[in-house]
Amino acid sequence: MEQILQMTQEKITIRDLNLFYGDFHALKHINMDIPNQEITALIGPSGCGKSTFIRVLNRMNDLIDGCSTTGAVTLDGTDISRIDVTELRTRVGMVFQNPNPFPMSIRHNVEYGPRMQGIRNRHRLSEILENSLIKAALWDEVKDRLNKSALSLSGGQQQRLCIARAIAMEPEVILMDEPTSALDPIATKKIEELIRDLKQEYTIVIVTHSMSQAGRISDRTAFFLLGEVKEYGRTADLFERPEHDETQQYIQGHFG
Amino acid sequence: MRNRHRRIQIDSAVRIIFQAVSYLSVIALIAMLGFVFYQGIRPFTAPTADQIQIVPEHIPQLTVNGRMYENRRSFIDIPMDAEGITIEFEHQGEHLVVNAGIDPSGDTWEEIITFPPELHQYITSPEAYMYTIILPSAVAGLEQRIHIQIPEPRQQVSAFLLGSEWRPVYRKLYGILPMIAATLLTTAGAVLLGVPLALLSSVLIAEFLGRRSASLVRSAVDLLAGIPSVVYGFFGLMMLVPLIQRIFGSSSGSSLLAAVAVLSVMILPTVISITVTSLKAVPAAYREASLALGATPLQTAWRVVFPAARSGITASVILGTARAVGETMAVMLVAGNSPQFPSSLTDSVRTMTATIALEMGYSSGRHNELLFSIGIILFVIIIALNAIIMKLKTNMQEVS
Amino acid sequence: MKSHPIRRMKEGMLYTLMYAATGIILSALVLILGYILYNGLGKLSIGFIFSSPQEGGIYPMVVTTAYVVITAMAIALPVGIITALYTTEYSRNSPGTRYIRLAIETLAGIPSILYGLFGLMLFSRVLGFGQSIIAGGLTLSIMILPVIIRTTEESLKAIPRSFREGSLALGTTQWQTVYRVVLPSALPGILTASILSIGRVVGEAAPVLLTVGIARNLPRSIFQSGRTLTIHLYYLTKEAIRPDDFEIAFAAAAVLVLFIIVVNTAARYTAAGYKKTMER
Repeated sequence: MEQILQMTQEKITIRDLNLFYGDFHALKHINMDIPNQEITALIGPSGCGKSTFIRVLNRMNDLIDGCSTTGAVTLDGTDISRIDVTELRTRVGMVFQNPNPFPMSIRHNVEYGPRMQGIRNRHRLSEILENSLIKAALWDEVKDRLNKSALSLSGGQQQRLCIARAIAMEPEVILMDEPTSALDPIATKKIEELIRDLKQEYTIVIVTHSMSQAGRISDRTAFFLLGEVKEYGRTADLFERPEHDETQQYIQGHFG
Repeated sequence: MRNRHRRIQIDSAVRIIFQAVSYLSVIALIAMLGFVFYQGIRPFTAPTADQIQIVPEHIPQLTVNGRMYENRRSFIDIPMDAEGITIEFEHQGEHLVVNAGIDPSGDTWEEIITFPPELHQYITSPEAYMYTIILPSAVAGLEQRIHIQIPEPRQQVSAFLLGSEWRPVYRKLYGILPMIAATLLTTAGAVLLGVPLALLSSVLIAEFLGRRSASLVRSAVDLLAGIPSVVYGFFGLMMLVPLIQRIFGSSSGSSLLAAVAVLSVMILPTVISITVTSLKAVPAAYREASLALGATPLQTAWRVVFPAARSGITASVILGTARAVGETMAVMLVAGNSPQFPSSLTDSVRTMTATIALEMGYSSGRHNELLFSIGIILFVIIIALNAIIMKLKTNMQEVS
Repeated sequence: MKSHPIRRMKEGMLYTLMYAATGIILSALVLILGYILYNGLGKLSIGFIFSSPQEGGIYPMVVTTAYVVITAMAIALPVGIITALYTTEYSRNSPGTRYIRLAIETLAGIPSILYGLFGLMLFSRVLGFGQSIIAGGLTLSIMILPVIIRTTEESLKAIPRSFREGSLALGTTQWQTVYRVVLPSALPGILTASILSIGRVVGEAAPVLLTVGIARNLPRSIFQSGRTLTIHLYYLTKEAIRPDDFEIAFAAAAVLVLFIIVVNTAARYTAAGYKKTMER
């Protein structure tokens, strides 16, 4: 396993990460290397800590009272606790489980991030808007109604808008927390295709509860159980030759 | 990069400003307690002044204990340990000398200063602790006067709380027991009359009325809450007071009864809205369990849901009580405002709040300070009631 | 086991009592509103509102009331909104926030006359504003603070967490998130809070009597004394001299009642509209 990981460049490294909610030990001694421009899927039964883990990577857990971590997480070799949190989050974008567009127009949703960074130039903003929507495969569907409320879009479109909103920040990493769990199969398929395309430019970490989704889109998979990483490796290896019995059982649908 | 730095600076500045502004509520509360307590405790800690104070009127020049004052309009202070007071001045071309003896250990104000007998005809004392020497003049209104004010001693807490006479201006008697009684009676009456009505209605609203009619009744109750207290008072004065006068044949209808009637309506919205909320918060499982055992909806509402919402309902009654204790204008307009113990429902009464509002405008000195002392008592009552509610809340959290 | 007819009779009686109680409450409202509007609407006209007391109008009182409302709101609204933002967005569970909440709860329960005593002491005497609109406005601003803070807090709590996370995940600062995403969503709630507190200020009398005073003239600035509508109503009834004073009192009471009806309807409307946007 070590050998495989050293072959590609690491974008994010995690060393002996522990996370506590008050007294509850939610993540235990996690060590992982997330390679650049690959899709890493996190699987495991609900409550295993995979969503908590992904929120460590852009420090969203800072918002939760009583949450503390030990260990080191680095982005391009720099400890993320030493990067300003707003900078970190522009470099590490996030897409949430439920589509959460702001109650504004489609245009303002996408332009929101760049505007907040201080970009005022209209031309530049339009460029970002178009590029992001094209990359998120939403442009053709919404180009004629950019000033309509984002809430008028369908669930799948809303989620792609949220992806566009994240892309508009030109992040290096995109975190996705079960991005398709609230969507129907057709919308899910579209998003999966989109995620595969995005791999060309971005490092993607995706939490999913669907084994088949992890199998379809990811290069690597980490199996979480009770706050620990039980197994981490190339997706094909992990699915075909799991090292642990628990992984085998989970993949075969024995629990979860 | 620079931009990010600026944004972060703004963010932390905003956070600090927000934190500072948020503490204004705490500061306001502390300041409020501080000012009212500071002012209200003074009568019980010290006499009004350390000196005897003299004010001349229409006397351009006078000598007091050997010191000359010209065109003096404010107090001339005489220490309590002076041997006596000697005032010399010109009256209609004559040189007059007024002598008075001081005995600081005197028990009553009449004993503290003594005047020679020949002066008595000129002295009037319509106010306690104040002598006024009036000398005749050829022109009416230009009489020469000398006011001599003796410091009022420290008030006794017991005389204040248990005294039954409130004659603040002329006799300096400050007993507020009649006001305490009036507040307790009006509040008790309003609670006795208003709470059953409110509870009966709340159960109907929360458990039996359909969505539309419940919402209609609730908006009526909200409107009742919004009506200004002066309007309640005005309505009471124009409608209830004459009615009471006619029914009971009393000389004036402004009475304890009128106050109770108005207050009982005014506390309804408080009691109803909180009771309805706590009834609605009772889990549906309780109702289902009761109904499944064959209880009627009415039995379920009163035997299961109502007791389950007990602490919320108690809180609503306490808040209603607090509202009645603190109400001022409505009571002031209909209660008649005589500071006396009522012997019947149709007697005029005056509550603590009304006393403050009625007399703040013209009171001065100790009288004014004692109105703040009444404020302290109100504070204590309200904070005690609040504490009970807090306790209920923590109990509720422990149960659930 | 009780026999059925008795039980049914008992139940019937209780139902009757419950409906009777509700009926009494509703008729009290109808009686009060009806009596005042019936007697007051006759005199009420545009001219009545915009003419001086000498001409039998209430113009200076309307102006004084408006000044008091504006002063109180100008202070309480920003302070209230900021406090609500701080206790919900910035520091939900710190010990400091607990003190702030305790203070707000206590302030909410304090009778208005005590606000009057405090305002008289601090603003009129210590700060030297005397009896003036500014002293009254400052006093009332503290009094309505709990209303504004609580209502705003409620509307902030109703905003889904995902809005905040969505914004913060884009690398915005807390303040940018609050200003761009949280505040706009809470606007209808803040509007409801404002309407309710305006109603409260307009209807308040006891602290106004102590701090603003009773001067009948048209106030030229907020540093002068004045007489609000409620105090005018009080004085008209207390010292009715001319025969038409009661008529004017009824009309002034009708103005107050109509205003409160408008305020309540508006607050209901904004609150309902708000609920709808949040459910979408």
